[in-house]
Amino acid sequence: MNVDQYISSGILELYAANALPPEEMREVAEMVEKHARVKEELDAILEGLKNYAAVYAPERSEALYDSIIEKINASPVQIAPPEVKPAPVIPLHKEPQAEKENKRVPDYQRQSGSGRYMLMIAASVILLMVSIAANIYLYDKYVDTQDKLVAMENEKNAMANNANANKVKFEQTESQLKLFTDPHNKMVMMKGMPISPGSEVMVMWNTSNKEVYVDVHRLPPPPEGMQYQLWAIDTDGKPVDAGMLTPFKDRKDQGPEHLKKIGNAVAFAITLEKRGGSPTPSIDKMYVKGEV
Amino acid sequence: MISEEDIISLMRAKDQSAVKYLYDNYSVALLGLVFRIVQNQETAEEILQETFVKIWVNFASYDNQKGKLYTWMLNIARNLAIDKVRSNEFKMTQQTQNIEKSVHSINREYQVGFDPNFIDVKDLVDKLRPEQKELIDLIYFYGYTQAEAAEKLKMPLGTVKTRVRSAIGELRKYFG
Repeated sequence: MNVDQYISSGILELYAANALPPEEMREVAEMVEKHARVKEELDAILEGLKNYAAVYAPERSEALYDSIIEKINASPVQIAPPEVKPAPVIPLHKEPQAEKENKRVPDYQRQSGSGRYMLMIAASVILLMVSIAANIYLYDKYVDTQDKLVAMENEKNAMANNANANKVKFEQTESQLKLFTDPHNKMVMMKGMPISPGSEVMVMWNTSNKEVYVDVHRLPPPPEGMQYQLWAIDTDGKPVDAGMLTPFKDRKDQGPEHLKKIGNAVAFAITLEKRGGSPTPSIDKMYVKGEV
Repeated sequence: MISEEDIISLMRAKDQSAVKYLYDNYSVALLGLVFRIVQNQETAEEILQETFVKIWVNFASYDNQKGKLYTWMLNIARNLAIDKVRSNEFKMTQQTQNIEKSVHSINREYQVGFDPNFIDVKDLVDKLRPEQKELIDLIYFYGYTQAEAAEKLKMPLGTVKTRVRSAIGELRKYFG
């Protein structure tokens, strides 16, 4: 290719605008060195480009030059790359640096080395802070959850106790119901005697299996050392011991109390006796009495 | 007349008189280039200042085997301006569209608000055919490479070369 063809190819214009790949940029530079006419043409192109750009320039501020000089004086003097080598500086790192200057590179690659380093540090600090915050948050949650678990465990226990209590109560109720519904049961309502007219106690006597239950409706609490005793009056008019009533305050539940079996009876009565009971009833201390 | 080689030597020697020379010779063009991208005079001047600081501080990385001084400087200015347009800060204050779209909005803006002193120049700019103008905008103002421009405009690499050649030839008639 001769010089004229080279000049008219358009490559010099692209070279002037820095639009060629690096190896072609170098080739053109060599041609410019070798041929005076190529250099002349390139200078003319640059002049044209320069003047063309100048068309768009607004009037420069008066202080523009002074502030440039001020900034240049305030700029760091470029010495050797820090901490690498103390040796002479100048063109050793020229190649890669020039490369960087002359190529359009994506924004993120244009960051300076230390800038990128700072960015990495900043990123790790942010990451650390996020991690700490997450830990605090999760620990809080953990404690919270632990508390909730304990509360729920307590609640569960309370409910289990409740269920147990209900079960016991239900069984009592069921057995009571059996007493009331069994057709062999005889209900004997014993009314208050003159010494205690307000008293009332029910006896349930099963004529088939001989079981006896008493259900105290109203009876004054026995004095210290004394206890109520149930008597069955048999067909001969003789009182038979039918068992001791547990004092109200010592009873676990309020259901009918199961006492001794009785074979035959025409009436039932309760007397106040010394603790443990007596072989014969104290008639003057009879509180309630009822006929079968 | 001081040569480009002399300026390069002065810059490498950290001689500030070279900055004065670069300012006198290139600041208007660089400001125009940056203004074309950011569309705001204050921002454009800030970027121009940054550009000069970068040129000063990083001059050791300039390699004249890889491009002319103006090419290197315009690349720095262009990258700073494009970064600025892309940064959120700028988006929030200017509510600007993306760069590619702004090519057209700039044109519209100029039809309305072009400085009367430049009316002649505007007429000249408009002498470029729209497709020539688009190509120059992409390659010169927005830093597209030849390959990127070819892909964007869906034309062969060779066509990009010849069209850039004819478009810049046109510019040289008026601005050379």
